[in-house]
This record gives sequence, C-alpha cells and structure tokens, in this order.
Amino acid sequence: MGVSAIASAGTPVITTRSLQSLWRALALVSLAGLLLSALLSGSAVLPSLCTRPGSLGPYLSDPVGALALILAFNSPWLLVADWLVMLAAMMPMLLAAPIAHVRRCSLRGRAGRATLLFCLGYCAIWTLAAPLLVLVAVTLGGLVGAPGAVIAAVLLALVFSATPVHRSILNRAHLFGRIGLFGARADRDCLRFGLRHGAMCLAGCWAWMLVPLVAGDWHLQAMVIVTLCLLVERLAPPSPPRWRLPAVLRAAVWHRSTATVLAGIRHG
Amino acid sequence: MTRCDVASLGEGWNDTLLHYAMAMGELDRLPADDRNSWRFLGAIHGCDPAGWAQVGIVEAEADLPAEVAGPSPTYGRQCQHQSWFFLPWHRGYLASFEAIVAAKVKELTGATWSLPYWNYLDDTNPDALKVPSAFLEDSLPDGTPNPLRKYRIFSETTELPAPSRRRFSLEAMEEDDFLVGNDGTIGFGGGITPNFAQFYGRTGDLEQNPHNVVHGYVGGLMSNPNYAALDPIFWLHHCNIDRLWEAWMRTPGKTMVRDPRWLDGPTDRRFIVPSVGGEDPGIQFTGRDTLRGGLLCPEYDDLTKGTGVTPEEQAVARVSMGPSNSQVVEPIGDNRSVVEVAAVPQTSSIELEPTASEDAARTMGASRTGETVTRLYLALEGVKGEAPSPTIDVYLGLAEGETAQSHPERFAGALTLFGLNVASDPGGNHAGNGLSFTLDITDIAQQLKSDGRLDGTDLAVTIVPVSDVSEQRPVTIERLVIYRRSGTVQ
Repeated sequence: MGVSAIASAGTPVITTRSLQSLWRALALVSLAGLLLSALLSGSAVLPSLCTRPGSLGPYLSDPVGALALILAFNSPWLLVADWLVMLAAMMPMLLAAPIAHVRRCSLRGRAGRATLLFCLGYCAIWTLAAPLLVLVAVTLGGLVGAPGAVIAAVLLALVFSATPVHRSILNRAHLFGRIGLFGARADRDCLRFGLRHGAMCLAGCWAWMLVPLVAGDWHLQAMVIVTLCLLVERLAPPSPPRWRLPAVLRAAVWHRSTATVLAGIRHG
Repeated sequence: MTRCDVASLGEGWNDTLLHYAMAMGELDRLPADDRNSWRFLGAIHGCDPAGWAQVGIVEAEADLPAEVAGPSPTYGRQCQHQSWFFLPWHRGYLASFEAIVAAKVKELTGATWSLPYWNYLDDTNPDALKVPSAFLEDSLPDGTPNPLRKYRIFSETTELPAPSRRRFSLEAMEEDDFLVGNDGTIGFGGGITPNFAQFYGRTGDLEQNPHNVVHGYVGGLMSNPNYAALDPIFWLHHCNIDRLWEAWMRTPGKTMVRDPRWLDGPTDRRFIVPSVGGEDPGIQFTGRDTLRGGLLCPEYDDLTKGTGVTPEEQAVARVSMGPSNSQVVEPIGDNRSVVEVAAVPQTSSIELEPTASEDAARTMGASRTGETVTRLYLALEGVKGEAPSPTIDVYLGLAEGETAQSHPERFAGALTLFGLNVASDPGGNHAGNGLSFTLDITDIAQQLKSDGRLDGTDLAVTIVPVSDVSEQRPVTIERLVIYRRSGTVQ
C-alpha cells in the first residue's frame, strides 16, 4: 500500500484540539479584558494620568515625588485594578506556549492549579514593574504632549524591537524550565516559571506597553493594536541576536510572517 | 534510478563506489561558494565556519558564502532534527545530492548513477556491519589518493558494533504511529513543530535508533551535525534511514501523519536544496513533495532486508493501540531535581503517582480487543551539554549498591545525544532548550513488576556515562519523567 493510499484510507489527522481550546480560552480572556477596559474607559485612572499629567508637571524631574502624588490622589487598588485589566486584555495570547508547557508537564488533576500559579507569578512581575512604567509614561506625556508621546513611544518600541538585545530576550522567552509533578515542588516550579517568564516578557515588551499608556482617548484602540504587534513578535521563531527589521514591520511586508503567526496560534 | 544495497554492488571498487569517489573528488575541487561543491552541500546540513577554518576544510571563514555561513543562511544549517521534519527534510536533501553526483558521474564517465544505501542491520549479510572497503582505501585503483578518505578524519571505525536490543536495533520499526497525541513526545517520526527548527527537542524513534547511534559509532566528523555531511559515508547512512522510513510507510498498520502543517510545512520558510548546476531558484520543497507521487520520492530495490518489516504484510510486533489521536499520553512520575552526569554513574529516584502507576502496571500486558492497554516511557527532557555526540546508558530499578554491570537485565536503553552542542547553545535558534528523548520501558517495567520491584511509589533511574562525558564536559538532564501512553486494543 502506498502512502497516498494510506493517507486516503481514513486514518485520522493528528488533531490539536487541546491547544486550540487553550487558544480559544486565552482569546476569550483577552476579549473580556478589552470589554472591561471599554466599560471602564470613563473611570479608568491610568490612561488619563499618563496623558494629562496636569499638576504633576513640577514633579516630572522627581519620579519619587510624582509617584507619591499619584498615590495620594488615587486609590492604589484602583490603579492595580486598571493595570490588571490592561494585562488581561493584552497578554493572554502571549502565554499560550508557556501555559501549554505548564499543563503538559503537570499531572492531569493539577493542570488548573499549575496554570493559576504560573499566571500569579507572571502578573506579580508586571504589577511590581507598573509604577516604573507609569512614571516613564507620565514623563513622556509631560515632555512631548499627547500625540507626540504616542509617536515617540511607537518609535521607541520599533527601535528596541530591531536591536539584538530584544531578539536575545525573546529567545530567552522560548526557554522553558522544569515543572515538577507533585506537591509544593510543583507549585514552586510553576510560580518560579511564571516569575521568570514574566521578567522576560517585561524585558521584551516594556516599550510597547508605553503606547497604550500614553494614548489617552485612544487607549483601547492602542491596546488592540499593540496586542497584535506583541503577538507577531512573540511568535516569530528564535534566531541569532542581531539588528533586524522589527517582526511587526516584516509581517506587514512579508506574508510568511503572518502565516507563521497563524500557524503559531494553531500550534500554541 | 533505483537505489541499491551497497553490499549487492560487489566487493571493493565496484563501479558505483568508484564513480562516487571520482565525482566527489571533482565536486570537492569546486570553490566552496559553488552550490554544487562538496563543501557547500555539506554546509547545507550544518556549518561551524570558525571550526571549518580551524581544521582546514576551508582556508578562511570568508571562503564560505553567506548563503551557507551567514547569520540567516538561505541554504546553510538547514538540517532538521528532533521534529517531524527530520525524515522529509533529509529525503529532499538526499535527492538533491544524488542528482548532483549523478550529473557529475555522467559528465566524467557517461554512466548512470544512484546513491547506494548501507544496510548495516541486514542480518542475512555477515559483513553488513563493516564500513564498505572503498571508504577505507588510501588510493583509487589508479593509485591516486582516494577522495572518499579525505573527510573520514578523526574516525578509526571500520566496523559497527553488533546489534543488540535497546542499543542498536530496528525496534523503531515496531512503532505503529508516526506521532502520538498532540506534542509528539512519543512516535516513529518526531514531534510537531509548525516551523523550521534544526533541533526542536522531540526525537522520533527512528532518529534515535539507529540514526543517532550510527552517527556516534562512525565517529569523527559524522558525530557532529556541523561537519557530518562532509563524510561521504553520511549519505549512504541516511539513504538507509530513508529506506527504513519508506518500508515503514508501506507496512499495513502504520499510521503516517497527514496533518497539513507537515504536508505543507514548514510554515515560516521553505526547505531549499540546490539543483544540478546550482542556478536560482533552487529546489524548494515541503513534506508533501517527499511522499510517494512527489518529485523527491525515491525508489529502492528492496524494502525487506534489514528493515525489520515486510511491506504489504501486517506488522504484529506490538498490539495496536488504536487511532493516534485517541491515545492519551500523560506524565505519571518525575524526579526531584536536575541530574548532572560526569565521570561516574548517577542515580535519580522517580516519584510515581500511586493510582496512575498501579493502573498502568495493571494494563501493561493487555491484549484482548477492547481492553485498555498501556505502554510506559521514560523521558529525558532538557538534556544539555557541550559535546557534539556523547553517549549514555540508562538503567532502571537498580537498588543501592547494585551496579549496571551486574544487572544487564535492567538496561533500559542507550542514547547517542547527536547534536547536543547545537541544541544547548543559548544563542542558537533553539534557545538552548537542549534535546529530549523517550525510551519505551514497557518490557522492563513488566519485568520489574513481576520481580516485585515496581510496587512502591519510587523508581530508580541510573544514568551511566559511556563516551565523551567527563568532568570537563558533563551532561545535564533537567527532568526525568515517566509517561503513560494509553489506548484501546484493536
């Protein structure tokens, strides 16, 4: 029997149902985050803070003072909630591969707990870094004004994406560590992997994250566009670190990059 | 042209090997930037420019063109290992090589030529394990230096060791599925990747043994993927691996993958090999092109001798576990920390999930239709090191004070870690995730169970360094895992 005969003899395609389910679940989380952002757009503190620094003007050269002022006039919990909603909208689909790794390496009954611990570590890193990113965004907004800040942030992100350092960080984001199967060891490994992956993600995405922070009224639209940019960058396969056209620009001119992203989504 | 067993072509300098040597000599004289030159063809598999200059393969790194040695080479460093593209990529590579050599043979002698295969596991041939003598001669029949010897440096192998189960054998041919489940942790052909990946980290059974094993046994340049294709015996070895794949596909009961990502992949770029003459655009191909009916599918004179299967006859070595995608693969045990193996054996204890392992032990031997059947696998994940092709032996169930030598019955398998150096490079395309291997331990687990050594919740795994593992160049294994593969007896 030849191969063509074998292929047509009703043998099953190797499906990727579980990975597709994961992608669907993450896309839904992302969508929920975006909807929540849209609902909260009138009351969200972060976007207006970064684009209308107003009374922060005198403090732009004093980051600690600016931060103290922000916290004095805004509830820290609201700020954290804003930040987490933003993360929920933008980051889930970047986590398909590491979450698939965590789940594959865990006992079947512990997959949910393992995913939760990984996400906890991941969000903790981003949340700890939030004050610094907000300060950079506030400073940028204060220095060049609303439209200028967006242009400056996009340029900064594109230049950073072209550097060997950025490629090297993304390569490291493809590095997956061991996840234990049992007890506290498994919990610790998942949390630690989340922290490490969060750190890599922060190091690779910080510049792009400034864009929605300084986008003001266009905060929501900027989140959607930046999410797609981050996805294109993350799904580009690892390659040696060197100066290169940013993946997002390559995707715009080279349809194969887009195909890679689509395949990556299917594969996880 | 039909590819034949090199042993069937006659002793010593038969026409096929003499013409191979003559053509190789001519191709080797071409500059390295000629797409039909021996060195260009070798660099398509892998290339370490600094190393090539150091051992004199090229005079200087600059002699190598950017399309094989640059940071993003079009032709160079394409070899696909540890993924489901291992077999189709090497098939396309062989086809290009064969056409280029055949054209040169035609030009030099007027004869037709096809690539022979080295059928080393043919148990009907007492000399099957011997390196064909033409590869060992210092000179051609006319007294001139033998080109086939030129790149056979650092290797003194004249004969491969005798085959033995779990070490050097055709056990891979017993596997029924090209890949099982979603991630390809287990299967004949390697794990899923949608993208081009030199060392993706999920080794298929055929790649592991005999492919990796023979690379390691031959040694010299053959043991390093950045040099291997320069050794002319490489092509006869891979021709045999390719024949084993063809024989496997033509055996009823084997499930070949037909996922579009394999058939039309890789997604992010095309495989490309040079055409005769080397003109643009070269030959681009996908998995589909290498299957029967495709442009790159070869013909073999025989698919039975030394293959372990008889095409057109149902293979019965293992009970059929049902459709690949309805089988379940899940971890049921792992060790507690990274294992580093240097000069002496290291033992690590695997903790097993009691319910799952009891269930697995109970269903391992199932053979009645409709029953749940289980096979157990030991995976070595995230294997890293600096050596190109170290070898290790793996034993199961050795108690404290017991040695591997005194308990050969606990031998679970030998692993040749071909490409370890490339896969462990953190700056490389693989992000330094290392290699991963799986060993089918069902038989030995059944033995341990009947000896009463598999009734607890721990299982000892002993890693014995065999070659090229030392204090200076240790091998680290990030995780040892026991996987349970379950299906339904068909």
